[in-house]
Amino acid sequence: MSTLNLVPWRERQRLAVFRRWQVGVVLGAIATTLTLVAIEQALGNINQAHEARLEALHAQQQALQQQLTEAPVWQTRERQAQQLQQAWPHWQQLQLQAWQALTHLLSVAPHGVQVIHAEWREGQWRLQVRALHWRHVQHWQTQLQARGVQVRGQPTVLNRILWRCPQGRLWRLNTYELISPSLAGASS
Amino acid sequence: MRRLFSRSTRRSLGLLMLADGLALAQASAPAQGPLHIQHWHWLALQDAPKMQHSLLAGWPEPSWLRMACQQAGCAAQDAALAIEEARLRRFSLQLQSGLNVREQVKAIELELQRQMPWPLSDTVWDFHCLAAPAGPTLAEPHQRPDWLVAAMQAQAVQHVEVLATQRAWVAACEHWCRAAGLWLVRLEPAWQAEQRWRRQPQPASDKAAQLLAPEVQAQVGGLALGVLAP
Repeated sequence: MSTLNLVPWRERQRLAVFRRWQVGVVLGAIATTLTLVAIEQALGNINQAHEARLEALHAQQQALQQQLTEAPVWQTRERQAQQLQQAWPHWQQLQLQAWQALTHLLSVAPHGVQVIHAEWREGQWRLQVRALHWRHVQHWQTQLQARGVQVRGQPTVLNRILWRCPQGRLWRLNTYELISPSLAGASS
Repeated sequence: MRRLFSRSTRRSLGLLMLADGLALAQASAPAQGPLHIQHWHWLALQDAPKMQHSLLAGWPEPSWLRMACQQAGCAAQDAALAIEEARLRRFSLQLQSGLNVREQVKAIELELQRQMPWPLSDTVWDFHCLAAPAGPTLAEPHQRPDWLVAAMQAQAVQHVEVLATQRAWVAACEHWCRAAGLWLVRLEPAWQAEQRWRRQPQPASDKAAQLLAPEVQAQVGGLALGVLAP
């Protein structure tokens, strides 16, 4: 049976299909654009995070390299500190002995002798004294020896200076060197 | 909307314009139940105000039709109209068989451009494939025997029947229906509606139906049924 219909349904159907196609194209374009934007955004975020991570790793690497460069210095310093820490009681003991030796030296008043310089070196006291004559120094040595303190010295004059006394007279002062006995195992 | 509320009852209105009146038939297709003619009605056009439109001369004003339909209890919105024979151009064409619909349409448009007295852009047309040659038998296609239909379909040539009319007249009909509160869904020749009615006849127990001539009844009933079950 025929189904002729002169209402222009074919044209309307074609138009509806065309409009659906247009809507589909527009929606597809919008969806594609949104997808591309989303992908670009996601890739941008990933790239940014990656760059930040790279930068952090680079900074960490630089810090580690710095530490690596300074490591021998710090190791040396640490070793020195350990050595110092180990040697410290011995030094304290040595210092005590040095003070005791100096106390013994000064337990006898040095009449006629002027101590101008005292130096602790290699476990013994080196004293520079001024006196008018070597005999004054020998006298002080004898007094010290009587107290059990040994001090050796040479009558060699290191230098001479002139000294004016309050009465106006000029005196010649000689400089001698005295050395105390060395302490066992001591060093400067 | 119809798909959204597919369970609602669908109604259609068949309109047949005659010289002295307007025959109406409202078909109803409930969600659960058979398709049937719900109302028959006859509107005499003696006192009806007439259209001033030259293409629809003698037709009643749509506002009058709207009021008359309401008074008659017609609630349909989809309508079918019978096209006047005088406005109809009929062609029988032979096309190469095996063409798809798009190619058939293109071939028919070329033929219509050659045969129609007005441009193709001013033409509304439709076609259906035939299995019979052009001639007097086309006027009564239901009389073709099945063996002839099968034999003609086996041929390498495809016969198509084309109906054409002026676009302006179709547009005027659509505007007239819209003004009357109807949506023109089908515009077909009266013989096609009558043929449909003969295939699925409905009992006419209504008083108004008995006032209509059997031929008019078949045509307007076929129009109403055609909207719901083409």
